[in-house]
Amino acid sequence: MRSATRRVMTFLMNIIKFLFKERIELAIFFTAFLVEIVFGLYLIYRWGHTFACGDAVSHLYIPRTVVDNGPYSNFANIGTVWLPMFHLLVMLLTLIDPLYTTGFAGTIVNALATGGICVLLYRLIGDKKLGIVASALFMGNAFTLIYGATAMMEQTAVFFMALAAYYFKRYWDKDDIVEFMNCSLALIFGTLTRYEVWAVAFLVITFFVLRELNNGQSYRVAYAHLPLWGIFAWLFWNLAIFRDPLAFIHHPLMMLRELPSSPLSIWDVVGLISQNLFAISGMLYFLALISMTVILVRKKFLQTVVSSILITPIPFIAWLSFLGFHSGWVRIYYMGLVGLLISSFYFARGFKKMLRITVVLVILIAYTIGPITETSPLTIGVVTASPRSDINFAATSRLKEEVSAIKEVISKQSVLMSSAPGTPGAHSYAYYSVFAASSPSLIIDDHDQELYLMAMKEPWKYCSYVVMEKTSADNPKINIINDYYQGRYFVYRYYADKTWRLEFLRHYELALETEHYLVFRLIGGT
Amino acid sequence: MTSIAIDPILSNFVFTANLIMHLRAPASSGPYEDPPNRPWKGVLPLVSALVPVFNERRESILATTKCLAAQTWRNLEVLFIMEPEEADRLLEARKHVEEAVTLLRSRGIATKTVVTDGKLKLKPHALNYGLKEARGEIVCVYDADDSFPEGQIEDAVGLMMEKGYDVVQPKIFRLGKALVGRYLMLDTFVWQRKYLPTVHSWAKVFPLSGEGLFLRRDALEEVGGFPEVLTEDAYLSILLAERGKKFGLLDSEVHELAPRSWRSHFRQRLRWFRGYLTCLHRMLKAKIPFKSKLALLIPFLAPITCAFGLITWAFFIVYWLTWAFLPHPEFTAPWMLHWLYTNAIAYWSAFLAYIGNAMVVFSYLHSLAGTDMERSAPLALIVPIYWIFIGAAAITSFFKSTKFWGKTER
Repeated sequence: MRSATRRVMTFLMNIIKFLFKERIELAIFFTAFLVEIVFGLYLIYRWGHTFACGDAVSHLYIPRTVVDNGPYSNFANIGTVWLPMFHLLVMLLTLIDPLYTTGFAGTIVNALATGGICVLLYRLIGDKKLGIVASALFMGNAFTLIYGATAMMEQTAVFFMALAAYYFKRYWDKDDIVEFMNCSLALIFGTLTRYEVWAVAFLVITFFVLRELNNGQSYRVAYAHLPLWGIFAWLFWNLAIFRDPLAFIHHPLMMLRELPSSPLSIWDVVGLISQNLFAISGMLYFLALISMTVILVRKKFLQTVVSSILITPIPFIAWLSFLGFHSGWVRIYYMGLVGLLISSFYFARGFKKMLRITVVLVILIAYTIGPITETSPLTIGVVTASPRSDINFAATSRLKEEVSAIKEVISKQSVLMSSAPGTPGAHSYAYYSVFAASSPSLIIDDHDQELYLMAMKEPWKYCSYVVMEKTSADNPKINIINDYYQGRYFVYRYYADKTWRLEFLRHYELALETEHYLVFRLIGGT
Repeated sequence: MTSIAIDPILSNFVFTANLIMHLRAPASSGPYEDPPNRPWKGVLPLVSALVPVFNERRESILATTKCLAAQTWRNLEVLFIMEPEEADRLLEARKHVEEAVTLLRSRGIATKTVVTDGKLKLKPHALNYGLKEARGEIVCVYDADDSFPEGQIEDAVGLMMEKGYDVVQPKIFRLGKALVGRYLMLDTFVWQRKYLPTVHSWAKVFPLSGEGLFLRRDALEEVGGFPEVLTEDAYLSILLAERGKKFGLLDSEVHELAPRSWRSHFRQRLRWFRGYLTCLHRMLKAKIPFKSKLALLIPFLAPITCAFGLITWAFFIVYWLTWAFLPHPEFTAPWMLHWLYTNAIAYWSAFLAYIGNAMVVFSYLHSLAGTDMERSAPLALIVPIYWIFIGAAAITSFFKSTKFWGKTER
């Protein structure tokens, strides 16, 4: 027994030695990890869950359908709209009900990611004191706290971006192609986590190709495609499962996004950027802009490259907003926070003694303006002040109460639920499964392939209950979804097809009406 | 995909076993040991270098001869082994050998020409004839067209004496400027950096190569000399492993010319695969530790693995073509309805087909990174096409005799 314990301890120690170069890194990692875990526990104490918004609920429901969906449990349930990496990472944890229903499964994954980001930030800065201050500032950000404790994908994506930047720096320093391959691996995982990382991958390739051509090693360009393997894999997945490599764009969920009707003007975009950047970093973004210019003028190309890689999500999403393809959520801008911090600290590294301290103080002041004016520490976890933020614990909690009432009526019977996104964000079936601790195998939804199609046509043959969202026939959302299901979408038919509705009501009676849903029960029992 | 086509298990197992080899970090040195400091200060055993020269060109014989002549190890004898039909003093082939003998003697190296009985035109048959005439305590084997550094024999002998190895093998690289040569080089490079170190670390033995092979004479005689089969080198490793002999890897290189053409390469692969099938049969009966057996099984299964590889790719293409052009392609064998298949084997197969192949290409690129071979990176990207070629040779090897030598033209 003792020998087994010793072996396990040795194994763990070897892993720690492999992951962390210094004790301070270990301390930074565990501090960040524990802060997120404690914050997650606080959220559970305060709200009963850690879900910042509806999407977070779906991010636990989707992986659970892969492993706990009765005969329809399969990897195809990973789906097409959201990239799969976070879902794969959290999948096994969702099988543990307390982690699933509270959202703590996502907290664990993102707390680890936060710890990793802080260590990488420390390493990338390359100065002990500055590295510790930068990690502490990142850790102390309200958005870091929230996204590191909720089941969203941003924190995991930032981790992979930071890892890619770290390996790219090593490649540049040592001219070692193996480090570029490590960077590519990080990007493969990153591009399978968030679409914003796709832009990072292309930027890294550009830097790599330019450097190798400049060094006269053109044969190394043969390695340039490696960061794109994640993107290729995703396109291939879409082709293989949905017969369309761009299914993730053509999916009705993407069509349903509340996009601006026309591209934004340049001034609107500038306003949007500054508003979101101020929310996440105070005036640090302004300082970061100056820092980037200075380090570039000083010909510190490596520092410029690393900063650019980590800032990329900001100009990328701003550009998409300008084109009218994205409404510019603050959490996407948050993905560039590490880049803003790192460029400012690279700027500080250029000075010595008192001047360096002065620059760090300026960074501190600039950085804390935002949180002080925009987010009260007392309201953290309720709602942030930015109109572009979807953090709303109160709204998800209200939904929790609503689906709990539905669960009391339905109990353990099978139920047909809508595939339209609910309010706020997630699908009704995700709320129902997560908040009411109901196995996806009891829910008939679009993760059940042909069963869903058959059940939508004649629900009375397949399920005891039907949960219908409250809407109307002229709602464009349900029209789009009805087109996607080739006229079989039951919510649309209920509101728009009188004959079908009469037939439906011949079999079902209203059992419960809540704020957002109508719950129908099969007449005459199961 | 092969699971669907041929069997649900075996192809996945052989591919997974090979994938494990690729998960290992490339060995730049690793199990390859540095020789003791030169000059070797211990006793100087006599080394007999056996060089079979049947059907070899003058340049090829001289290339090896010059390397032997340049060796720092002076207690050396060289034996050129000829077939009777070339042994006539009036023939060109004999003259080439005489030229090599003169060169070596002029450097003070004892040199002999040995003529076989000509009954069996296999390399090991020739080597056994050479062995009868050899006086050395240590025997080494080189082929025509080999080139190696001047200290290789001294380093190998030093390592054998210092560490008590019975067999020592340097790294073998097959070079060529044509596409076929570059692919073969790529393959042997990955073999040396990934497969060989992994097999060695697991089994403490590994499949030997016939070039630059150093053996203690007593160990060789204990197993009855060189086994007269197509791949005597690999077969010998099983016999030596059964007797618990110690194997070592020397951090030194032997460069051999790659086959001249794709046709010649195909013949070479045929010979290797047929030989490996013989080895596989012998290996299954061998009395060696189970772990070593498992580790040796992976390289000896190469003909089956490569054959499955080709079948897999063929079905892969057929599957996707029918998927693209038929509305609902159905490939349903009875076992595919079993829960084990739908829940495990299907995912396992899909993982190997889509992620496994990508991992192998990644591994090739990883092996090349940071080495002189980095320039071959573009070739590594299309290495699956080369596997199709190798797969064809593997399938053909099942239908060929194990007695036909099929000499490689370089």
